[in-house]
Amino acid sequence: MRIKDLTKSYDGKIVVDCVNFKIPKGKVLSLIGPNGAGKSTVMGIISRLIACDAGSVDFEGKPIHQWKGRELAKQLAILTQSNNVQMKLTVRELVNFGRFPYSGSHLTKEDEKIVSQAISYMELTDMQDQFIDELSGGQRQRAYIAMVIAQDTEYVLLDEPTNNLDIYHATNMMKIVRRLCDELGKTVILVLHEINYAAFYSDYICAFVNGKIAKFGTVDEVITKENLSEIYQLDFEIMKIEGKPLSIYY
Amino acid sequence: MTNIRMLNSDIILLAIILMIIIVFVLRKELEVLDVITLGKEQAVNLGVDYDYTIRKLLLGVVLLISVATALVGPISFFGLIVANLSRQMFKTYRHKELISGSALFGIILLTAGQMIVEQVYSYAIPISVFITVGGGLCFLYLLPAQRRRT
Repeated sequence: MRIKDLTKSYDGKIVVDCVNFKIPKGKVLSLIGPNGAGKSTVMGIISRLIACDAGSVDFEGKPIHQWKGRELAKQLAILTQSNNVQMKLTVRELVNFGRFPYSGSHLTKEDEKIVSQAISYMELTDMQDQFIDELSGGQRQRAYIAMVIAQDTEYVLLDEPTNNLDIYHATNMMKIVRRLCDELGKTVILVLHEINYAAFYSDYICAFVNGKIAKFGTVDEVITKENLSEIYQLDFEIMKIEGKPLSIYY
Repeated sequence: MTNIRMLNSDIILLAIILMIIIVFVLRKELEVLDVITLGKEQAVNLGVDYDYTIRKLLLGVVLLISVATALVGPISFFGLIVANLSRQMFKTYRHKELISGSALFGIILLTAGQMIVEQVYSYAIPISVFITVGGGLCFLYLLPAQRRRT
């Protein structure tokens, strides 16, 4: 998957400025940067929720708007933060939706098996018949991840998955992201605010400043005192924990 | 003014044919409606062409309302009442069940209303009075109930 010369403006203000990068396969890539740097807009364009003004997002050589919706949905899954559904859905019914691009509403035996596997991978088998509005926030997040797993895509996009989660659940979420990549072989792209989660759990980092890519590289290449000061306009100290560079700012 | 007795019978055949065509064209969208209820982001994620589907459905709804209005005149409020009451009554998100259920419910209500107008009141009170009064009462009940829930 490759992002080519992506540009987007709102009311004359350039929010995404000729952004170019290639998504490393089978790895976790985190998009970081200050507010308004354009990372959520780039994510919105990749996930087809926002139209770009120029440039393209190419998936397997073809721009995404040339793909049929259902075909692309079998390769690329997006989870945004608006997981506030008021429908009376059980966990299992929610995860069933993950098979929609393949079988619509009529699931085959194979689909049922995949759904059960996704549910057990997220450790939700005991509560699969409970309604999602009866679950805790953390459990509901896991249910949505189970739906993404059932969608069986190679690429998973997550828009600030740790927002609104306490430290325990946010850390668990990042561990799940890591498992999606290491155990299930998926390519995961996240927009993250917490630099340390990005540094500890990703393989690559893409840092945005003012709509442009300031730095793109492995975690060790990007997370340095100089780079971070430049991006965030703050002083940073870097400490190595388990070999990963964690930043301290105050 | 709603007038079920003075039903415009010349066009009834045309109305039925049109309705069957519309329902047939839109039948696949019923399961897409279930996905759309998850929200626009999820619908797009699962491969639904959101804008196109919404436009198609709205067009179908407008055509169906036009058919009904051409037959019996405008029935203000009625669709709103039946749709909202059905959502409360039928504890399902599946639109196949929701829509057939509310269609039946609407038929029952309208038939009952017309029966009252004919038998009890001998046409003295038009059906739209019952619908408006009944609908108003329903909303008086529903609105505080909604606020309680949020």
